[in-house]
Amino acid sequence: MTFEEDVTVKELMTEGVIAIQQEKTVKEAAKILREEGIRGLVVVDEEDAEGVIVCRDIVYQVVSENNDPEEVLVEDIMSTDLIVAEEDQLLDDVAMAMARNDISRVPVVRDDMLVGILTQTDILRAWPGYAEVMEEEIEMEADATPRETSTEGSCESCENYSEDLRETNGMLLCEECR
Amino acid sequence: MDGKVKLKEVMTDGVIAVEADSNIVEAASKLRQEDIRGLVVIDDEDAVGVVVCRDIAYDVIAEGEGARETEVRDIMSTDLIVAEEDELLDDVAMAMSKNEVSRVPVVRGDMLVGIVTQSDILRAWPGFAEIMQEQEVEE
Repeated sequence: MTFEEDVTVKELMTEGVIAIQQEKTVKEAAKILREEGIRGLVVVDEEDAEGVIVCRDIVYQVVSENNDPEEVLVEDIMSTDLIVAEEDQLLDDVAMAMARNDISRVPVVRDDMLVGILTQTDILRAWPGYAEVMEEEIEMEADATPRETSTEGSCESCENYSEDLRETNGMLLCEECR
Repeated sequence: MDGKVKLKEVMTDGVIAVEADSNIVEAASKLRQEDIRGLVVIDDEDAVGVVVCRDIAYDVIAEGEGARETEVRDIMSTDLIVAEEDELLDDVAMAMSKNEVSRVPVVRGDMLVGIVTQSDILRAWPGFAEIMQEQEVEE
């Protein structure tokens, strides 16, 4: 197993949140979804997140009833049982919570502030081995510049500053964490 | 997880399909009834595409098209990525995330036998099975 167990939500989330006011119509929501090429929006009232609306809500609650998407409002069909992730949470925990609750996207918060969104697609990018495959592809394209044997910066495991970071299993680690 | 999990161990058996000439209200009702996000589209017996909730939101609702007047074939995706049931989950998971698809029909030879979704794959997430077992023990 090659998955790094201490990956946090913020490393994979999409930063920034695309939101819609709750009193907009479903048709307006669908237009934003299409323009942004995404599957779900955070629903806000003024500044506060009140819910989430995804393509599925539109299909189940508007289209299957043949209701008019210009009449139905976002607040009528949004989900309000919001599962939210902290940006510092471990990806493993959030991935499992999502799979268990069968949800495909969670808003990500830093304290009270919405900072991003994490989707199943984002999580699959951390699938064991995927990073390696991508790295191989990048390496094939990269110039043949030898990597420095040690660098300085923050250790990717303990986050402490070190002047002796070395690449170990794909991460830059300080002496203690290697 | 040992990296050798095969697709058929995590896929959903059986395929819920819709005829290409059904209208979008019919497709939407089926999606809701079955509580799923996408359907395989068939013409006679052959799989000819996939239609997901996103296609309906983008191509019908956002465009202001009538759902009853639009047929599934008008909005389905036909660039079908298909997986063999014996493929390794790891490979399929990567192909899905590279191509940004959320569900893949699974075939045995020429026959459609199931579907695998991002949710199915997340359920195979390293450690997930262990945690679920722990919970069962607690209960």
